[in-house]
Amino acid sequence: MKLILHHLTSEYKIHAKVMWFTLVILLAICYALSIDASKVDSVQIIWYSLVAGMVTSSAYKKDFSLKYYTAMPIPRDQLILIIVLGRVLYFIPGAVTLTVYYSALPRDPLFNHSWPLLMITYFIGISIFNAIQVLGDIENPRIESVPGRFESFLMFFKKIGINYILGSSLLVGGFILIKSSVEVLGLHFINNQFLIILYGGAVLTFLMYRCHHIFLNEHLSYWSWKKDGALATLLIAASIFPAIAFKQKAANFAYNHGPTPYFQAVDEIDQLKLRRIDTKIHDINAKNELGYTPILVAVRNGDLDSFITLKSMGASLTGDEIASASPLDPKKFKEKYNSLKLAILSNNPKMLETILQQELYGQGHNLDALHFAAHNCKAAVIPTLIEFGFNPNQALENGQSSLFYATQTNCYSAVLELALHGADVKLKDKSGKEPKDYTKSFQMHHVLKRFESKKMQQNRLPASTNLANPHLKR
Amino acid sequence: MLEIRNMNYQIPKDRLILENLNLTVWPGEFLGLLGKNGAGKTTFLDLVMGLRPVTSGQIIFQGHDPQFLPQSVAEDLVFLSQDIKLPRSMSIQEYLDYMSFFYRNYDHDKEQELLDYFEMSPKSKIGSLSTGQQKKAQIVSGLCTNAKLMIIDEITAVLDPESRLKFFTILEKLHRKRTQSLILATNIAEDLVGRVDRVLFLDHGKASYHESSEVHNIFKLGDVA
Repeated sequence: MKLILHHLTSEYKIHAKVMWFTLVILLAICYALSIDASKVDSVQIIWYSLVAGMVTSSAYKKDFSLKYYTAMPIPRDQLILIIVLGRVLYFIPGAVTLTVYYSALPRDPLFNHSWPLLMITYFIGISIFNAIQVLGDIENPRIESVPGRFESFLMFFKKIGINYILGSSLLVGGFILIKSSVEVLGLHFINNQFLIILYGGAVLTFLMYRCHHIFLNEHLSYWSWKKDGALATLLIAASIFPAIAFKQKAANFAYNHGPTPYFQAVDEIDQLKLRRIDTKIHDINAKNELGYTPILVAVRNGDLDSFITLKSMGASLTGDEIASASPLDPKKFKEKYNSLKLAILSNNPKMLETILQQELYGQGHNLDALHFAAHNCKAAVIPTLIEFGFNPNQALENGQSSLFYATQTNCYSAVLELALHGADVKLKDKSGKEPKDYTKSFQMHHVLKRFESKKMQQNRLPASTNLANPHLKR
Repeated sequence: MLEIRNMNYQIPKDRLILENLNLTVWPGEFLGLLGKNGAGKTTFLDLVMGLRPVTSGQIIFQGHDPQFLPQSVAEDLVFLSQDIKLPRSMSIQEYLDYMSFFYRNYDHDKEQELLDYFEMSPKSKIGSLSTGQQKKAQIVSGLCTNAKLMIIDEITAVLDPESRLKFFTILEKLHRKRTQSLILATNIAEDLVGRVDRVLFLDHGKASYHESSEVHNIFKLGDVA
């Protein structure tokens, strides 16, 4: 431990300036993305935090001298550990950024909204990345003899391709394998997050062992048709083909379908299968780990047929349902969603109309519905909302109407729909800005400017016209 | 101190670099290592340091395989190499403080003496130093460890004549005390004349031993080496 701390202190002193600079840049970028920290795009925060560390860690490799470390009187396994940990320091600015913008991060089982679990997952992930880099560094200086150009390519492929594919394929493929074992054995109490941490830890241990093994046996740095050829073929087959062919299914599997067969039937849009499920055995209102009931899944998918079938089978739908958004959704608005917002996300006007007709929500509720639709660029449902009485010029606490949100997300179709249905393009928010002040897009400026003219205002269509989907009848 | 028995080393899927090498380095001995470019001097030293595994045979340092040295034994071995790149953002003093942690017999008093002797400022950043100056910093750290075996891999080539002379003056002092063993790999034959106890010459994978006075005859070039 003393040795590790001594080394990390030294590494920090060497790289402190770069780390602080990276932190300042990261925080500045995240702040510049929007007006206040709470609205920063969560995916971008995670992405920038990771990329900043990867770039600085990779740049550090240029000055890396393996002999500098191997000349020290340190046991080999400890040596590999301190080299990996030294590079982890480059990811500390990312960790600080994730902590500062923690409230904007998605709340779902993969990025569980528990800060300690988030940090453990983050550091295991970056340690795996660093271990793979160190693996390449240990192999690299040992290569003295390259028989031919093709074998040179294979050795390069082995160092870069197999190591990274190995790491990522083991991580993804192995996680799916473990998850399926959990499903078969019925160990549903084990959270996805814990599985990632446990499995990530196992992958990291394997990579450290491999580093140590290659360090002791340089033959492993060279290409072997027998071992490496077989491994490469297996990895290519195992990782690329399923990833392309079953991407959605794998994603769905990683995020638990649900405890009852209703979920699978809804996903498969199979009404016959749905009707065959015995409601006495399976609770039709049971929630999955994301908080969805089967009927909410149907709403989210815009699947009216399944919705009607589930309703007829006794599924309940009240205004109180609260579900997290799907982890596959790229945009987040608020942390919690009700059936109205899920219907908006489906972008199906018929589904939205059905939900609105349920009259689950009283007056004064869901005043941000149009804002939500605009933010998520769901233009097809905007006319429906307006038809049901939602005001396109309704301002939220910040003084912004839904047009502001559509402009900020550069959603032309939403801007068009709102403007044509009465949204005021000259409205100012509490900071005195108009919608056009929130976009740098020339085209967006042009569209908003056209609606400023009185002629366009006179030509505004009634709420009954659905421009985004003219084929849909009202 | 160091024993090598019937050691062979072959680069994976390629030629045999070292063949049937036998060597014993006694405590206090100063061994020179000479050979043409590509003869395998650096590879030989990598094997002694445990950075590569031997193909066959044995290397034993203080009763242990160099690849698996316990911490207490590893502190008795110090390696100075032209291939070692020091961290550029560290100052010389920071680098010396970092290295001193690993050696229980590290002499801090000697450190300041040597810095003065080599005319180096401890506050200088390593990145601002020339290659020769960086090697001098490495030499200072190596000399302060008081390790039982010091391995020097062609580090003298980048030193200016005055620094080289100073370095060899210190090595000769250490040799006279017979408290440390030294292995010096070099391309400059004159560095070995009159200084080393014997010379190990590597040629086409085979090793031969010579007196230091015979160095000029090894390459059959007369007085020019």
